[in-house]
Amino acid sequence: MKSGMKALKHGAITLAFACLILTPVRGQVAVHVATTEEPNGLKCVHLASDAYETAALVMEWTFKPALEVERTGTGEAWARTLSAQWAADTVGTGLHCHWTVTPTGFEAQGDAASVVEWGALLLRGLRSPNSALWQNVQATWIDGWGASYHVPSTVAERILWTEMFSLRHPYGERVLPSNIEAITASDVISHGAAYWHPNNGLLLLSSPLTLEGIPEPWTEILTDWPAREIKKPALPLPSRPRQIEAFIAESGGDSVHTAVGQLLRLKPNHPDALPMLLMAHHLDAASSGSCEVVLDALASRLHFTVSGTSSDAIGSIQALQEAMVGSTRSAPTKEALTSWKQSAFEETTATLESPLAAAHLFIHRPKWFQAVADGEWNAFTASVRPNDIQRVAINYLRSENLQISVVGPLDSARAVALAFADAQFLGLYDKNAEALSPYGPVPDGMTALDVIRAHYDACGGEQAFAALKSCRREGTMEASGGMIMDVLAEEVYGVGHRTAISIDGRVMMENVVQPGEGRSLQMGRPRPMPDVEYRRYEPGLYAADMLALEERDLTAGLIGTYQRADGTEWVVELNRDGTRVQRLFFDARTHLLLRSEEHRTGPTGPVQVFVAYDEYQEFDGLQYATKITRLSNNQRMVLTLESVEPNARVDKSQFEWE
Amino acid sequence: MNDLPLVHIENGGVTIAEHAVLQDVNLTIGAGELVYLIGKTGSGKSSLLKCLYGERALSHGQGTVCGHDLNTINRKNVHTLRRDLGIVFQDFALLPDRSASDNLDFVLGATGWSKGTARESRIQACLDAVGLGTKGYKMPHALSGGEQQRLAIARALLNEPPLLIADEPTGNLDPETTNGILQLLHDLVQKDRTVIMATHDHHALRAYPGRVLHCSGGRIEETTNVPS
Repeated sequence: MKSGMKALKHGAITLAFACLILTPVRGQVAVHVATTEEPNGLKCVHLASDAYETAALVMEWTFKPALEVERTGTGEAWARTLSAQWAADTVGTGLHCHWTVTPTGFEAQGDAASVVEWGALLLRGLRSPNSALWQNVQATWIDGWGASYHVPSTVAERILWTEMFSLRHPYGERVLPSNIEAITASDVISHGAAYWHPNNGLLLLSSPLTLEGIPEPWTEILTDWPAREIKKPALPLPSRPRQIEAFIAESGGDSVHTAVGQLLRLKPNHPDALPMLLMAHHLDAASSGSCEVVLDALASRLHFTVSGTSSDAIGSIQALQEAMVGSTRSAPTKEALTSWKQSAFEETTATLESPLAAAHLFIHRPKWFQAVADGEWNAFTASVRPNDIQRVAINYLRSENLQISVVGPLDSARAVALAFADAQFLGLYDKNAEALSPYGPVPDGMTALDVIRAHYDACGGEQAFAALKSCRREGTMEASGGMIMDVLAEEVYGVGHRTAISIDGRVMMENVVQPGEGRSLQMGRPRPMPDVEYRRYEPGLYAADMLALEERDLTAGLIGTYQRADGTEWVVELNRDGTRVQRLFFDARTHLLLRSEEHRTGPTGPVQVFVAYDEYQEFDGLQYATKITRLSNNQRMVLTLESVEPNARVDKSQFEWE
Repeated sequence: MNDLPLVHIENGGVTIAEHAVLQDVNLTIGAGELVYLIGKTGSGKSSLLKCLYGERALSHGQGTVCGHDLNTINRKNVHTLRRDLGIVFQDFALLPDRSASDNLDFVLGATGWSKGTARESRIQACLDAVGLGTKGYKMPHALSGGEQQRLAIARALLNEPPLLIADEPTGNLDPETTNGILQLLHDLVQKDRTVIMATHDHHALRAYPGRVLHCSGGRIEETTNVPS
């Protein structure tokens, strides 16, 4: 009770005070827990045990409000500046503790006898950071760049995180030396002041029983720390790919270093968290790599790493995939599940023996801590049955949506990547985790406009297309599963475009656009098109849509050449407002458009759309592709044009609406 | 312990993020020696010093410092090594929110000295030893650069360590003040303390001769050629 009294004496509000004593079974340690809250909102927890010989201090922030993407690298700059200050303070005073600054706080462990003093140094440094250190920290960070960041396993992780979370997400932020150079001392201090404040923080001390609670010198440092308004940022939700994506980078040495990730839409406090974490033991044991499931309020994920030869990596990832798929196909036996629970219990129990690990368990898996503390592990896990494991596997595991980053000799890395991903989903990176162009150099002096004009020349001449007034196209569309629909597209250039899709003569879907706006009709019900959808049908307003770039707010660049086994393609990229809209691939010999790639954001995440243009045929002197194959989300649609009528008589009234 | 070398490293190596910073380090340093560590920035001087005070583990080889085995020392007992050492930095690393005396008092409190006359006497003795006997009440910012470094040395001497490690202690000081600090460290060596000092100040090597260890290409070699 002493610690609770002490907290009250120093102005803290005692929210809850619990004294949990674990029954010492199988070497289990007894831990006393006391929880208080300071008037400024800082929550304080003291874990005490006579089993602890060292002490640990953990500060953790609920960083959901605090994590914002600002100037890249500022968060790490702040962390490094704090570290430098703590190094100077603790070594200079002859005290000692090991600390790590994490993305959500910091943790330290050291001599229990002097924990009051070294803890005070850390907290004092946190409250009064020394910006004068930044210049030296900055120089050291840049000087050590290669040694720290060009390690193959680190490169693999950096590429994976950038791709999994994107550069716009705090977890996907990719720091480069140029970012570090741009950071100023005031940026560093502002970061700390803006994001680290007490009312979203938790201070946890694990110590031997000799310490009665949060030490008074600490509370003196922390109580005048003002609470701040917490703003909730708009964080982009990371999205999962629709297929396996692979990323490769070249490094020296013989080994390949592979990092595999899959985003899990599962919050740590969700009822499915427990079966998922129990299953993680099985996934880890199933392959020679290391697999963990990290449940995080911001972005949960499955994370797997393996290093070795390319065949080691391939075998290990295949074993992981098989374990994932196997978990979805059948529930584990009761005996297997019992052994997973037992293994989780033993791990959790062992965790309590270390003051630092116990602190993390208390913060990140409070229910697990409580279950072991109360001796209620069996009751806690009893609700998880074999069918729950299978259900959770079905709901969350996606062996066909993994993201795989491979770093090693280029041929070996490519072999690993292509064992899982199609070539079109393979990206090339450098050792700074920056994407490299997969294309060769462009011919001297050639521009995107040259390539587009050459295409129209090959199709009958730019002038002929300029003279076109209208067009009607008819054909069929075959979707996956064998469903065949009739397609009619009619357009009067500059006036309107309509596409109608029918089954057995009944129009199921129509899309109509006029310059600047569009309508979609499903089963006759109209709705205005959002801009992104309008942009997809807008080309129908132009006879030569790829030459109407300015009208469509597009810019085009010739970004390289792509070498096929049997020929060369010119690659033109269309951008709008600095964002890539489409890549077009033209045959360098025939000049015809062969295919396009497009990244779209659909309601459930990003979608890559691949379109192939084949079987060009002549209609009234103009060439049109009559077989257009569209592939997205593993769904294939083939449009076969049976007739094309340039300058057909087209009723303009069909493009109007009220 | 006096018969044993204060520092002994055999085939030592330091690796940071899979990059070998130092390798094949063989080093023996006895009581009462003044040892200079020279070399370019990034050559491994600070990494070696960090190994000596337990901030970084040896990646290879064996080592002892003041009788502490660097291979077996861990988080639980590294503070016992620290108490046998005094450490001085280029940027002084003083606590700016308390007086010179309180900077020393903080360390004595943390290392188990109970409050009382002995603690006050020890503080005064250390301040006297570095020529700051009358300035204990001053805050660090009210002391000159040279005085701040003297205070850092006084703090390093509190527990009467046999070994003083100084990482570029004069790097932030003007030449005249530098000379005063070097004289102070030299006086400590005369009193049988061992001083290991990383420095870029080649004038010091000539003015106060000692052993010179040159860090270059990931290796440390003793040299008699004092760079000009």
